[in-house]
Amino acid sequence: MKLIRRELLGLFLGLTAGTRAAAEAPAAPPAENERKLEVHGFLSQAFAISDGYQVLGIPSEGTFDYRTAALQLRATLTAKDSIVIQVGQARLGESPIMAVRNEIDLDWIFYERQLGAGTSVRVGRIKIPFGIYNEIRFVGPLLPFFRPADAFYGEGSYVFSSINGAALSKSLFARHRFSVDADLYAGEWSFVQGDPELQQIAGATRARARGLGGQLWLNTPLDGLRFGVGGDRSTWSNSVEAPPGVKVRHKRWVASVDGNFERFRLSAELGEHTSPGVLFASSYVLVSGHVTDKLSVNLQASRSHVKLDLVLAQLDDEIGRDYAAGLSYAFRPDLVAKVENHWTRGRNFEEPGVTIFSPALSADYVILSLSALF
Amino acid sequence: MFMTKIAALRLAAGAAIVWRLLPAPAAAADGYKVVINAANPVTSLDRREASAIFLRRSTRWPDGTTVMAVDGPDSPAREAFSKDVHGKKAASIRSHWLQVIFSGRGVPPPEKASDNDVILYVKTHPGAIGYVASATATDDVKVLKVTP
Repeated sequence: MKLIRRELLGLFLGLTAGTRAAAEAPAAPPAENERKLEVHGFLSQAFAISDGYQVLGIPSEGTFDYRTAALQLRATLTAKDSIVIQVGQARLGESPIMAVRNEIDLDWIFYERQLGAGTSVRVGRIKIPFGIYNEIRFVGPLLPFFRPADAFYGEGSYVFSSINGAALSKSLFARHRFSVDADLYAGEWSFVQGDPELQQIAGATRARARGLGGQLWLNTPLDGLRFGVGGDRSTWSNSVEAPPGVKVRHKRWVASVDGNFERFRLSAELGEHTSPGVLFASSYVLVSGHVTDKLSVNLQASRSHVKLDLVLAQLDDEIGRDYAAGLSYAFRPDLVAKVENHWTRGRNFEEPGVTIFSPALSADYVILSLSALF
Repeated sequence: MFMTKIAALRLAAGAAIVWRLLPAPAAAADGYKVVINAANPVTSLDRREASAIFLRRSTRWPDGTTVMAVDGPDSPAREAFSKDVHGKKAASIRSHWLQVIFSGRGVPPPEKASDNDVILYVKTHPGAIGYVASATATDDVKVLKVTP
């Protein structure tokens, strides 16, 4: 904990020094062709139905209450600084998390300062730069499926998508054959946690984590191909895994390969999340082929695995496995219709409530969605 | 013989899908000119440098002037520029900018309504850079050579 505090302090001092140095230069007003206020938004509306057990809020009778949407405002104050705010809604059908989720949430709000030479700092509530999809996890037209692989990015409880704190971003060697994009972030985030025995979310508490992490991307000379590594470490309080008042140290890491080419996309990520006595590993592979300019075929395989080595519980087994196939049709880049079928098996079902020690269940579910943005 | 026909059909179908997924041949590099302010001492850029500038990954000229990139209107020139400099279709670059916008990391260069607007902007801003159709008059600005 002392180490984390020291690192947080170091990051804060670094950011403060950088911001102060940048502030010494007079702040120019926005260039005459820069828009002072930009408004953007997106909406993905879906119908989802399961052929049996309820998973990800999708019941067997189907639901139209399945949606992600957001409205974003970006105000350019000067040529170097801006304020960005995004509010959003995420409806997840019959999921128990709807009982504790707000109708409208503040996705992010931050102040951004360009420090020059491809460097910027953001302070406020920021999407965590983690892996390929975390920052755009709800932006339907940019995703091959309705959501990124939930085995990897999570859905509902234990999702860490935004951080209250600061992030420093730096682009290096931008004019070279190989270039690097780096992010460093620190702060605090909170998330809904389930009951460890029943995996029931309703009535569960919010845990709080404080930590720091980073994400590094290596862009290669082959246009569209990049490799990433990232991770963070944090200290959790108010966590159901420990007695009240006891803080627990967690670590996450992710390794990514992302090939986004003219005719196809190949993405694969592997990650681990560890805490004392617990190892959660997850991975996925996604292939998307653009059969025509408008029609794409999307295939994805994902899985998650847990290993418990606790005094009261021992387990080494798969939590979930999902195979997905879908078609997406882009009327325009900003208007996309999708149909996807998932064959899912594991212990991540909501109805009937299962625990990670229960026998695995299986179900198929289908999502039909229309996504638009502006 | 019957099985051979099925195998041949499968092979043909597979080949057709692979063909569709293979990268399209690059478009010819003509059809556009990259222009900068006449006072800018730079005379050429390689493709990667130009791409980095228009993707806002490179923000300063060698003399320290702030780069002010500007996109042109939807046109064959923009498509040719995008294919040649970014190695991607203009639609792919738009998708890239949507990703940047919705991850909260920035906004694309401003988009001008016509090539004449691009020329006017570049002419009046020392750090400006844009691209226009080859046939556009460029007397008041400097045409930059973009090397592979």
